[in-house]
Amino acid sequence: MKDIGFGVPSLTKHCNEALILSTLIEEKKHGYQLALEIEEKSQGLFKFNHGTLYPILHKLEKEGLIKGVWKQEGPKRKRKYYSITPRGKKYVAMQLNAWNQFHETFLNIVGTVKT
Amino acid sequence: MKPFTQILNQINEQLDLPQPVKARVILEIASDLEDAYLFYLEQGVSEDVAAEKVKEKFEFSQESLEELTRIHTTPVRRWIDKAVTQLGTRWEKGLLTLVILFIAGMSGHALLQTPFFHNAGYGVWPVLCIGLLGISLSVRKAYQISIKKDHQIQQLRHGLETLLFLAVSSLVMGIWNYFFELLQAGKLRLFVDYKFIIALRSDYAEEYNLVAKTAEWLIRGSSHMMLSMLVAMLMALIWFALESQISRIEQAEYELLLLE
Repeated sequence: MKDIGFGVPSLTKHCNEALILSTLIEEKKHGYQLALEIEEKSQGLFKFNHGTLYPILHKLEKEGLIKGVWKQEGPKRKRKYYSITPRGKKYVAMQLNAWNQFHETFLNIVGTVKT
Repeated sequence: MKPFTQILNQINEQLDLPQPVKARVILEIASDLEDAYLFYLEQGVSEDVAAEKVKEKFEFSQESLEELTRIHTTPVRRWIDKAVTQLGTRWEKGLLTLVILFIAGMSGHALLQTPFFHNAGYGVWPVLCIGLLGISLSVRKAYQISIKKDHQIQQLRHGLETLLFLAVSSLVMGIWNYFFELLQAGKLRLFVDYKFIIALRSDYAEEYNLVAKTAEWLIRGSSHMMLSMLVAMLMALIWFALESQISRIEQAEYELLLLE
C-alpha cells in the first residue's frame, strides 16, 4: 500500500482516482462523459462536481497516468478526450489491490463488533 | 454558450495562470458545459432549468481553482510566459530588434571578412548541424501555424521546447569546443607511469611557440563560442516568435469561445 500512499486520510483522493482510471480502461472519454458514466454506474452514489473533477483529471494527466488529446468535432468545436496510459493501468491495478486490502481489514474489524 | 459566460468569466478571473494555459482549461470546461446542457435538454426540461442544473453541476470553489492553478504552474513555465507577455510593447520590441541587428551585423561582418570557418576548425560542424536542424524544425512549425493553419490546440506547442533544447545544446557545444581547443593548443598529455601515478605533462615548449599557440587557441575558441552563441540566439528568437504567434492564436480562440 505504501507504493501509492494509500491511507485513511487520503481515501477520498484514492477513491476518485480509482473511479476515474477504471472508467477510462475501456475507452477514451471526455470530462463530462466520465462524470456521467460514474454517476450512472454507481446509481448516484458517486457524484462528481465538475469543480472537483477537473483538478483530479489534470493532476492525473500531469502525472502521466492519463493522456488528454484534443479532438476537433465540427467546425468550431473542440473536445478533450482522456485515455489511460500503460502507467495508469499499472497504477489502477495497485489501487484496486490496496482497496481490496483496505476493505478486508475494515470488515475484519467492523465485522467482529456485536450489535 | 451565453448562459454560461458568467461561469467561464468567473474561471477566467480566478485562475491565476498564463492566458494560453487558461484558454485550454476554459475550452475544455466550455465543451463539457455544452454537453451537459444538451444532456438536460434531451431529458425534456426547459432551457432555463437545463441551464440552472448545469450551473449547479459546474460550481467551482475557490479551492478547486487554486488547485488547478497549482497543477498547471511550474516556475520555468511561469517565467517564460511572463517574458513573452512583457515583451509586448513597441518600445521593447524595438529595443530587442536593435540589439539583434547589432549582433547580427557584427557577426555577419566577422563571418564574411575573416577566414572564420577556417579558423574555427572542425568543431563548428556539429554547431552548424544543430542550427540547421533548428531551422528546419522552425520552418515546419511556421508552415503548420501560419500557412496550413492547422490549429489543433494540443499540437500547437508541440516541438517548441526542442528549439530551446537546441539553443542550450549549441551553447554547451561551444563551451566544450573552447576547452577542447585549449587542450589541443597546449598539447597536454595524460599518461600513467610505471608506478601507476597519473601525471600531467606539457611538452609544447620544446616543439612549439607558446605565443602562437595561445593566439591560435584564442581565435579558434572565440570562433566556436561566437557561432554557438549566434545559433543559440537564433533558436531563442525563433522560439520567441513562434511562442508569441501561438499565444495569439490561443487567445483568439479563447475570445471567440467567450463571445459564442
